Formats: sequence, C-alpha cells, structure tokens
Amino acid sequence: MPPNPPALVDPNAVLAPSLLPALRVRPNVEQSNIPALSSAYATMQAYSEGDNRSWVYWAEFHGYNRFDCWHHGSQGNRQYPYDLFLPWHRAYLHYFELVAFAGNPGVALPWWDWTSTVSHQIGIPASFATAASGGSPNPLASGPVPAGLRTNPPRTTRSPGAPAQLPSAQTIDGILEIASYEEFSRELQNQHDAVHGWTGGDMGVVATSAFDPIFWSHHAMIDRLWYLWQLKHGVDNIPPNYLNLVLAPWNLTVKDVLSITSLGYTYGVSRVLVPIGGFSTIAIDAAQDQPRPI
Amino acid sequence: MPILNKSTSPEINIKDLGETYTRADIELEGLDHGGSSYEGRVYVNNPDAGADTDTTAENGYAGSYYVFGHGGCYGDQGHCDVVPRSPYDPRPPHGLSPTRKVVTATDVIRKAAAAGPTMTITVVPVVLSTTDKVPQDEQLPNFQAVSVITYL
Repeated sequence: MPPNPPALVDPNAVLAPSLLPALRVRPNVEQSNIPALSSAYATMQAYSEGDNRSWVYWAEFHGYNRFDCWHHGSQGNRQYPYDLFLPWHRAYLHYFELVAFAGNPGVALPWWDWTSTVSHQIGIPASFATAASGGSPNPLASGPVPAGLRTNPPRTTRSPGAPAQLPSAQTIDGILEIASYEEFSRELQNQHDAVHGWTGGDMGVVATSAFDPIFWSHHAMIDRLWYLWQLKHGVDNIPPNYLNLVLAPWNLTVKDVLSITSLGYTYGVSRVLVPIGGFSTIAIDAAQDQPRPI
Repeated sequence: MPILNKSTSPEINIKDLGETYTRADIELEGLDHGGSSYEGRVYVNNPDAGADTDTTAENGYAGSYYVFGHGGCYGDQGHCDVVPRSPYDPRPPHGLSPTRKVVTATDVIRKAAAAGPTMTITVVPVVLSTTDKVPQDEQLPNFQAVSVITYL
C-alpha cells in the first residue's frame, strides 16, 4: 500500500491562531506528537471513573459494561440487513477525539499502520510499547480498567504475536480494490479482527479492548482505510438503506459520518510551505473528499 | 482454555458448483463469536490438517477467517442469551447475534475439481486470545453451516 506523502512540516506543530487549520489532521503514529498524545491520555486516565471525560467512561461505550459497539453484524439477516461496523466506530472515534484533545486542536488521533515495514519488524509501535515512562505507567502502553471489571491487574495487558504475522500491505491493497461496500466492510473487519487477536491480552476481546490505548490507533487505521476506499470508490458509496440508521448512542446517522471533512478531520498530511511577505502560510491538502492519487 | 475441535464437512459434490464460475467462496453461517478470539484456517481436501500444517496451497489451504470474540459473559445469568427482537423493537440486534465469515477459495476449489468429483472442507481453529470469563468447555469452531457459493 503506498504511504501517504511525507509531511513537509510537523502536522502537530502549534500554529498562530489565524493559521490554524480548519481540519484536524490525523497523523501516522511514527509522525505524531507523542508527548502531547501522552499528556492527553494521562489526563483522561487520571480522572475518576464517574467523570465523563475519563478513560474508563469512554472505553466502556465499546465493551464492558455498555457493549454499544458494532461487530459482526448479520448482513443478509432479513430483520437487520446491514452492518454498522465502520460508521459506528467512525462516530465513536470522533467523539473520543473531541474529548481527549479538547482545547488542543494541534493534537489528533494517530493511526497505527500495522502493514508498514517497521510494524512488521517491531509489532506494537515503540512509543506504545514501553511499559513505564518517568517512573509512572506509560499512558500509551496501558490504560486503567474499571474496578467492577477487575482490580488485578489494574491496567491493561497485551500478549502480541510475531510482527510478521500482522496483515500485509498486499492483503489491504486487495481489499481496497473491492467495489462493493458491504464486501469491503466485511473483509476489512476480518483483518481488524486479526489485529485484535494478534495484540492479545485485553485488546484481544471485545469486552476489554478499548481500555488499551493502542485500540484507538488501531481503529484510526481502520477508519483511514475506509477513507482511502471512499476516495477510490465514492464517499457516498453505501447502500441507501444505511443512510438514515442511527449510530446509537451517538446523535449521528450513517449519512452524517460519510464525509470525514464534515466531521472536522482528515488523513491528508501533505502540506506546502508558501512564504508570503516574510510570513509563512501553511496550505493544507485537506482532500475535501475528492478522489486523488493515494 | 477452549476445547479445539477441527471441523470437517461431509463430501461435497463439486459438479453441483458448475464449471463456469469466476469466483468461489466458502461461507460459514451462524458463527458464534461470544467467547475466545481465534483464527479459523480453512483447508480443502485435507481432513488431516492441524494447527501445525503449513498454510500453503499444496496443503489445500484456502485462507483464514478471524473472530474478534466477545470474551465470555460479563453479566449475570442470561445476560448473553440472544433473544430474537420483536419487529416493533427499535433497538439494534443483540450484539452476540450469530455472524457469517467468508473465505474466497477460487483457486483451491478449481484444483480440487480437477482432482476428483468431491471435496471436503476442514476448519482448524487457533486461539488468539481468551479470558477467564470464557467457559472451560467452550468448543471452537462453533458454526451452524458451511456452504460453497460460486459466481459467474
């Protein structure tokens, strides 16, 4: 799979207010602002479980103890002939991102490209793998679990497989060629399932996966792949019976989440620095949902 | 740990699939995903396949499906029972409603067709992740039917 073009400037650089991009740019983990991300996650993880900004509060929407997530929808079932796996998680990440990086528009969810050469060499990204940071738990390596789930261990654990067993770029390239949305969604979900199982530990099952910080970057990768598929096959390419379905508990329908730029973010990372009169203006390729080479 | 039982289908008459297809899928229907996460390795005409069998075309390997398991039941008794919804019930389907997995196996099935009139399908489960909430007697894989679908 061809990588995104390299960023010419740090996508997380703090810009003057007049130059702030309208869209939040989700970077590759390898290019992300790790200190800012760590700080944001540490803040959420320090909140008590009952605080609606807390790590536990947001993870519980997915698994224990709310189980609102969509996986393995029964496509073909006469009563539920749809699968909201992709749009539901897009809405979920959007809300999480708004809370996690509130007041800090220069930070965005990074995506973990588990097809990359480096991932097939080291597996979990280095910044997410170091257990401790400065004498405290690394907020990217583990997250707290609710006391009602268990008290020991109090944070998430992993048991990753061999890096070479992660899905290959060739496999994902083939999936991106699938023209049918439902077949694309099903095949992408299958690879998504594989990465959850590969990571193991709490990430390995639905009930506890979202408490692990790598969950969010894994799903940013899934969302990005849907975005790349949309650029190739059409932003609105989805069966009409999906459009008005509600993505509970989020107050969004499927049609509300088809365009990521309308949600205020993008995966386009190429920027051009244009000097004007001694000032530097940042022009951003926000893609604007138009087909472009990937 | 779950009890791993590879599953082998009865003999399937390959002529029933026709001869002019451009694609052949192996579909597993009514698949349970409430327990452990696992990889299901699908083999054609290799009932002796096991977890140590190389995943090669020579061994009849058609591909794998992956199940992101629920991880067992985290509620009280009955919490994970899948009860059919009323047509007037606006809630989404139960999260543990059985699912379907598909493995596209065109080349392997063509090879089987060239070798003889029938074939078998064997699924070998390999556990990727489990929890102490999963019943000790969980049996993998757990699905209701397997079918082969061809496309012109």
